[in-house]
Amino acid sequence: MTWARLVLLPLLILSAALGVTWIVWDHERQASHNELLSQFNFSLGDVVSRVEQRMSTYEQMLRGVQGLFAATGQMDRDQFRDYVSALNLDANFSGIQTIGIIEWVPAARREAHIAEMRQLGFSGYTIAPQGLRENYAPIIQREPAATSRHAALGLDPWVDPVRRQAMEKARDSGMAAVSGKVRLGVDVGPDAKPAFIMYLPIYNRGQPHDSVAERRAHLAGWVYASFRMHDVIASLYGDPLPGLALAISDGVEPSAAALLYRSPDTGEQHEPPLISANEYLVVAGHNWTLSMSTLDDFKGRFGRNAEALIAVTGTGLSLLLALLAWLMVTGRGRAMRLASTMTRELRESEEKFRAIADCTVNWEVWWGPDGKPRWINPSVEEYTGYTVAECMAMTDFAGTLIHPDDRSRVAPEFLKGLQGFRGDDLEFRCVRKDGTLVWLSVSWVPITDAKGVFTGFRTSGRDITDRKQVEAELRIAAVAFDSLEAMMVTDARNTILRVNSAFTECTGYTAEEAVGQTPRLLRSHHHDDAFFSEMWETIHRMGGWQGEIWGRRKNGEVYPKWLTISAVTGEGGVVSHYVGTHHDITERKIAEERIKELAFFDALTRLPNRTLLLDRLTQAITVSARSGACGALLFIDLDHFKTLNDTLGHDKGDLLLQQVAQRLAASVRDGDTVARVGGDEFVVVLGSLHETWQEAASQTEGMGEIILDVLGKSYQLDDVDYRSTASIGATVFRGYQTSIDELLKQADLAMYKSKELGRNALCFFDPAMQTVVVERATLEAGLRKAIEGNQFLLHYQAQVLDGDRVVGAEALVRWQHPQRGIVPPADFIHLAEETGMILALGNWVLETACTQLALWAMQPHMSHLTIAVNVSAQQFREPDFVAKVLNVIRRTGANPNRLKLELTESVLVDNVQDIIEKMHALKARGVVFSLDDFGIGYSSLSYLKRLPLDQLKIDQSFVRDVLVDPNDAAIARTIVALAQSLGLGVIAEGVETEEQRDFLAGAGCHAYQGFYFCRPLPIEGFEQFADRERMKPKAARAS
Amino acid sequence: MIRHTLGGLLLVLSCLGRAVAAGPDCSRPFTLALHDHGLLYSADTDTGIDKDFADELIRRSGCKISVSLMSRARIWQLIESGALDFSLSGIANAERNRFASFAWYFSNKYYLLVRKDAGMHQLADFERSDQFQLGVIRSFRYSDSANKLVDTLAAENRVSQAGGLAPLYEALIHQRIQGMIMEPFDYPALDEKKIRDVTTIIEFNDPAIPHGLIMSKKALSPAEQDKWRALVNEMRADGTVLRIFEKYFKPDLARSMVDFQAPP
Repeated sequence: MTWARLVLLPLLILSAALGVTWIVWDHERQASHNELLSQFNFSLGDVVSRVEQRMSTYEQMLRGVQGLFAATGQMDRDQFRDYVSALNLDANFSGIQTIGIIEWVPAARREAHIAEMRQLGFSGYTIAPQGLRENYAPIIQREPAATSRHAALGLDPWVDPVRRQAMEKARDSGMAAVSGKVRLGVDVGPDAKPAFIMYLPIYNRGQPHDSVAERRAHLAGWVYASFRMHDVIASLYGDPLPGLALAISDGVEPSAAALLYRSPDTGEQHEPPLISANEYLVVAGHNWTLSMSTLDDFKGRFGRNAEALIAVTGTGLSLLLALLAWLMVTGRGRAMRLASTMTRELRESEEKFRAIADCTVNWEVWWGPDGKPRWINPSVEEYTGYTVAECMAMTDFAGTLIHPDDRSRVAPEFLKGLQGFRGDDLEFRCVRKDGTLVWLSVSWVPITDAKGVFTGFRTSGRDITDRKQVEAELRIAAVAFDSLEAMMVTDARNTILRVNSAFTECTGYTAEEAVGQTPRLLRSHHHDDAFFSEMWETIHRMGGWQGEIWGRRKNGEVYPKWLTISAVTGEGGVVSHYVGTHHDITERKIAEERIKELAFFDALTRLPNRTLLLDRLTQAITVSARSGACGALLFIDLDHFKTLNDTLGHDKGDLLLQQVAQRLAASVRDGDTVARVGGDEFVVVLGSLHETWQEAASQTEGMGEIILDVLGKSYQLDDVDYRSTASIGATVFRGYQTSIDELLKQADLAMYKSKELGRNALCFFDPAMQTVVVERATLEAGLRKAIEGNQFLLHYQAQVLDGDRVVGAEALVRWQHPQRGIVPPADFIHLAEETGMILALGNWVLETACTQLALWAMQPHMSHLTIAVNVSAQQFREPDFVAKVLNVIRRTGANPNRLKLELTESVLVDNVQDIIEKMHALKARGVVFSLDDFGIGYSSLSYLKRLPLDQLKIDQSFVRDVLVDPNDAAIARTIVALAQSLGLGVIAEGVETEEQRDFLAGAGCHAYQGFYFCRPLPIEGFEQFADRERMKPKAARAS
Repeated sequence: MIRHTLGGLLLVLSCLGRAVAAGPDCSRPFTLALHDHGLLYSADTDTGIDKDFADELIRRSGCKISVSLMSRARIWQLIESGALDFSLSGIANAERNRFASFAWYFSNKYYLLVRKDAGMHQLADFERSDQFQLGVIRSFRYSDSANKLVDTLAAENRVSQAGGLAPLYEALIHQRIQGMIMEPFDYPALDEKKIRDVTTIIEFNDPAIPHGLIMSKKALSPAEQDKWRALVNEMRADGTVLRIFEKYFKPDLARSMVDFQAPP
């Protein structure tokens, strides 16, 4: 049943029923109306009928009188009276007012008539009204007898036109005729009731009266009856007509004038009459109009009041019917819905039950009395990973699942369950299918069947792994609480709830003293309220705060602590507790200080170290840039500090440094910085000097002088007096013009310059120095490249004997610079020595020389030549020098005897013993040693006897001036003599003139090297020279 | 023997004859009532079609019938109660057939007489108009559509009844009623009372309704009724009825009224 039909059918029924109701109501209404109408009509007809009947009766009555006369031929008064009396007794004739006789008296008979009447006893009889007329029709008898003069006999109704008309009509038709509305003669009062008179003609006996003329001719008189309409109606209806108002009018038009009768008013009529009708009565040829209308209560009396009842009942029944129909129609639907609802509810309930039974969070097992599971709910899969089927299939379900360690605990409880006891809260572990463990809390209860027989027991297990975990965590937390950090737990209003032992230790307050207080207990007055409000604001915003705060112990001691506050929020995000931990960071703070110190300060002197210096310098530059004032950087280097260290020892050296530092610190102004950047290097930063460069420089100079002066004073190093000087390099800076690195370099260079200038001086940085540095750097780089790139080559300067025999050559290294061309060794040897490249260079030289020797060895006329190789002190000091040389010799295959190593005196400065050993080692292999630049160096003569030298080389500075300077000549001679006496060979270096040679020869020196003989030449040139010299005859050679 | 037979035959014949020739049983005096209705009977002149018919009937039947004048309503009441034996020119309907039987002797159509100023031109107009008052004589029934009209208007209380025609004419003139149902024997009155000038006639579309002698079933046995009916048929057959009608109507009208197929 679709909705439409559901609604439509009842609606249809409703409309049908309502239709029926309406039809019935309408029918009833019509029937009621018809009933009223018919009742009205009936009443009307009844009235009409009665009136007609009564009038007919009256006519009959008059006919009786007429008959009376017709029978006797004359009017007997007594007879008439008796007749009328008899009539009076009959109720039918009530209503008659008067019955009377009228005699027709033509004018001629008038007198006779009057006489007759008087004779009869009516002495005062006359015809009234008086007057002569054509005809007279006086009343000659009336019953009841007239009581008043007005009703006296002799009244002539013929004069009244209304009466006359009726009398004439009666006379002419021979039938009764009714007059119109008249006023009776006896009625003299004002409220006379309307009346009418019925006339019946009497004709003379025995004479025909078939035509109008005959009737007129033979008229004897009339009998008449007069009626008051009111009395007539009253005689008809004792009580007024129920619910109806009646009015009778004369004629066909009801009007007030013509009104004969009106039924008495029964009070105000509120509504217009329901029905009203006029009926025209024909009474004795006279028309009357009978008007009847319903009164208000007509409907009440005669109406059927079933309409409303029908309507209401009908509607009600219709609605009921429709409702019934609807119920029936929807009944099925509703029944089905009900059924489906019930089914659904049942299903839901079933499902719920099943859900509870099957899918309860708990793991339910029903055990039989045999200890085997009878039913396991599907939750087992979640708990253990085994499906229900697997579980049921297990041989020992309990044993498989329960953790081995707990089995011993569980088994007795299990037995108790089998015996029918119940238990609770047995906690044990279960092994899941995948091997993991779950903690279960199990309760069990026995099951009995309907008869109460024990049929097994039911276990219900809950996973409490989480709880166990939580318990474990709580334990840990409890332990953690008692950690070494001071912990304090407050509630949301900062009341301390708990403190741990570390707290007590740290702050001095015991738990009893602290609990109930607020953290204000620990407040020192280091921090203002702003600090705390910011702290709390952070806590509220971030949920915690940590930082350094100064607290107060119980004993009043203020100490720094690192405080961490965490807000603990409960459910709903509302803060429930605050947890504060702190630890004493006094030590840390001290350590921090120390670290800072160490980081930034020199340990020994307590001056800022390089790191801090850079920072200070940066600041000074910034300040300078902002203010426009110049600043200056001074590099101060203690002169000969190393010597002090070596001589007096490091502890004295440290003392010196400390004192220097103190003095320096005292010398400078407050804003200036003194730092120690190296072993004996100090740096001073001067700030806020004059704005102009010159002024600033002079200020710096002034300061430098002061420093030099201060540092020059004697120091007291324990028990030693010491005087020291310093070399100062200064550079002025302003703003960011020069970078820090540049400044430092500049100052450094200046300092070196001052050292070069002789120490104990202040030297300003000169841009020219920069050039030197740059050049040096370039050279150094070039040198490295040269070594790698093999840009060196050896030139050989011949060493001659007696002036004509070439006995060997000195190998002199030349640098073939790609840009600069040949670079003489003076330009780079020093740098090589400084940079240590001399080793590589020396090795190369050695190797090249040995290779050459090896080559010469194969040339017979060259094989005797020796090559002298310069060896620097650095090279010689190398520990593996001997091995290297021997290696080279072996590799090249050179004859060691032909190799001469030239050492300078500087080699003998340090560790002479080592030198001696090395020389011996090489000597053993045949290598020859020569002492170069003899006379100008350090050499002590004692060394000469210890060193396994073979030759001394007289320095060219002596040789040059041998002829000019007697001192040099003396020295040269002495050296020769020395050499001879020690058995050493001697060779003079830098012989440029023959005279020099001659002198030297005279002195006993026969070996020479110099421009006079040969310049340093490349190998080809040398070999050519050697060849040429060989070719020269001896004599020529001697010249 | 033959005499007995002859005597018997004679007896039978005479009886038969009597049966055949015998009119209604006149052992008791009958009553016949006339009502004043135009040409049918006028109380003033004591003449009318019905009067003549009654006289003829009396003469033919040989019975003593006393003729009186009554209102039509009363006539029907008395016919029904059996107090009155006969009346004339009555029409039948289901209700009347219960207590009266009829012997038809003429038929006529019915007409509606309306005032010109009532503004009605068709039958339907009367039913629709609220102002139209119809005048009828109490207890009169007419043809079907006339009856329908009367009943419809009566249900709406728009019918004025009267005891006779005279007040209806008066009322029509005085505009108390706007119409009344007419039969041909009412016509002379129209001319006389100058009604014709102010009125028109609308015809009911019904066939002519037979009118006849009314016999009270209570008063007369069916056999007697048949006798009387036979008597009336005789009068029709031999043209007596026509003659009577021709006295009052034009010949064709009289003929149209008298010549009709008598319904069973």
